[in-house]
Amino acid sequence: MLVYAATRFASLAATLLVATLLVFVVLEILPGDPAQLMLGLNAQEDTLAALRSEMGLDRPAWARYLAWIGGFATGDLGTSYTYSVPVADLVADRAVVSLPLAMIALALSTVIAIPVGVYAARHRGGWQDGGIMALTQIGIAIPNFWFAMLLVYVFAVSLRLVPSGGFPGWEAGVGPALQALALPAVALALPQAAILARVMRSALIDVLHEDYVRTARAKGLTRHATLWRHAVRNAFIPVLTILGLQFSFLIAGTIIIENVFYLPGLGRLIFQAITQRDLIVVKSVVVLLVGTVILVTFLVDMAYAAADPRLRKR
Amino acid sequence: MSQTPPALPFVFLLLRHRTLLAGGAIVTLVLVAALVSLVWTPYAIDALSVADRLKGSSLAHPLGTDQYGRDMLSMLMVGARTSIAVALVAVGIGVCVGVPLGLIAAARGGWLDEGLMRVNDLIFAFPALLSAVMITALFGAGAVNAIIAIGIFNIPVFARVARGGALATKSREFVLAARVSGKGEIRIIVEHILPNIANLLIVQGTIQFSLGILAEAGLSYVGLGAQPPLASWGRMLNEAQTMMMLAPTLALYPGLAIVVTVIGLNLLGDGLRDLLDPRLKRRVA
Repeated sequence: MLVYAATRFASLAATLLVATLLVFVVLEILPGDPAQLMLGLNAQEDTLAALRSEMGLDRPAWARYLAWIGGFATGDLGTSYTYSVPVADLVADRAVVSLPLAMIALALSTVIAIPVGVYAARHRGGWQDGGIMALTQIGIAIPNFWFAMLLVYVFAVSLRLVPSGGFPGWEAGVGPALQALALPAVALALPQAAILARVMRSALIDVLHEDYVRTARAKGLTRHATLWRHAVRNAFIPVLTILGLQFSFLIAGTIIIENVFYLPGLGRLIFQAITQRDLIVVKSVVVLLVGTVILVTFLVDMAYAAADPRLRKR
Repeated sequence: MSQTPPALPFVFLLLRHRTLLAGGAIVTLVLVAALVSLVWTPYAIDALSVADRLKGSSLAHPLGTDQYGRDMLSMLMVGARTSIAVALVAVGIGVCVGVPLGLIAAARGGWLDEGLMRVNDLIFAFPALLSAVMITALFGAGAVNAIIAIGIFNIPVFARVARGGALATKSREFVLAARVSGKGEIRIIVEHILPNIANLLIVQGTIQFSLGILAEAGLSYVGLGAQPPLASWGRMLNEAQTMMMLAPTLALYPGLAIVVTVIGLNLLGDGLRDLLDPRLKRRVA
């Protein structure tokens, strides 16, 4: 187990390193001089040069790369070109919106999808199964931003139950903040739940054919106990894979959903930073998001290995 | 279920596979709408008319008009063309680059295989939409960059499918027989392995096609996809958002168009999978 964890961790570190290199190079080859961008086209040449050296732009590319990577360890990611505040502070301010949103959405989709998938598998071939499968087919096809618009129309514009957008901040209290996150979380969670429910269903159907399920029944366990204690637990392995993958979709989804609801999260930050060419913000946020995805994949791998000893031998 | 004899006429085949029929019908309808829009639309989509703005359904405008007086039906038809073109070319990029890479990886094995698969993992680590947003925003918004951004993420998908299929086929008897008879590596791949993984690729193709349509809609919605005057379903939704109180139907039709098209493609994919590989049906149905 330890050897397996170590090799997986080495591969995680390598992927992360290549990812940072990739992001750095892509943003490096882009035209545009940040110093020029800050001072405008009429800036004096010596003022520009002074600013460049202050920002460290006159150093060679590899030195700037190393300084940037080192910044992740020290928490100093440089200063935003447009906001003139430390990038780390900017990211921290926005993460307290995006992170809870992604967590709530992930939890919501899991809590909905697992019972629904189990229910469909138990009634396989029946009308309940047919209905659920048809619903999930629609759930997979719905663009989450359109679903979000429909939710806004019904629950914010027509029924006036929740705000249609914006975020009061956690200072305003947990209640109002959660209210503002309710619709975005549902808009993110339901399409994801549709996929997850389908995976849960087909994994469970596979498992129900296994010998150990028959054995469990034969030794006198009730249907209910067999289902939850043996079948569902074993069906979790493919479900876990999809959950790991979905985290990546969720991160991407927040970028668009935050724009629908005008939520001041990382997604909106990266959007504004891209349009304002605030590349120092863009590269750090992208690496943080990609790093989170890589880390989650690693944790999922570890969770498998803990759950299924056969996987450690690979 | 018994295997369908290949001699059965195509029409009967379709009737036996209802998902295939439903999916095929929907996709054909959207394709026809897109093709017709190339030569004719009820109204020109760049014809703005203040007098006709926000009209409801009528004989002249079956689906009404938007806030600029443009005919919704015409916009939807052109939008179908945009969606299909973007998604199709993006799938094409994925197939043309990914499949050869996957086949080479499977045939050669060793460090080449390992290296290619690591690159695959790396691309998978970037949330596709995040990178697509970055690519289009940095290199300029527009349909062509949207195609490239979506296409790049199709490459590892097809590489993985082709590699997996090729590895499974590689050790089958007929491939060994071909090798014994002296055929070269490339001939074996083209004549024996490729035809055997075509099924997998077709099914994956429909899945990536529907994901491509969703991705294009998302990019256009945030203003990074197709630019006006070209119509796009995602862009129409973006414009409809500010009009939600006044004219909710403006947001209804493009969204429905996306959902119906994607459902059609998914049904087509499911149907094709059942048709091409009946063994899977027991597990999935």
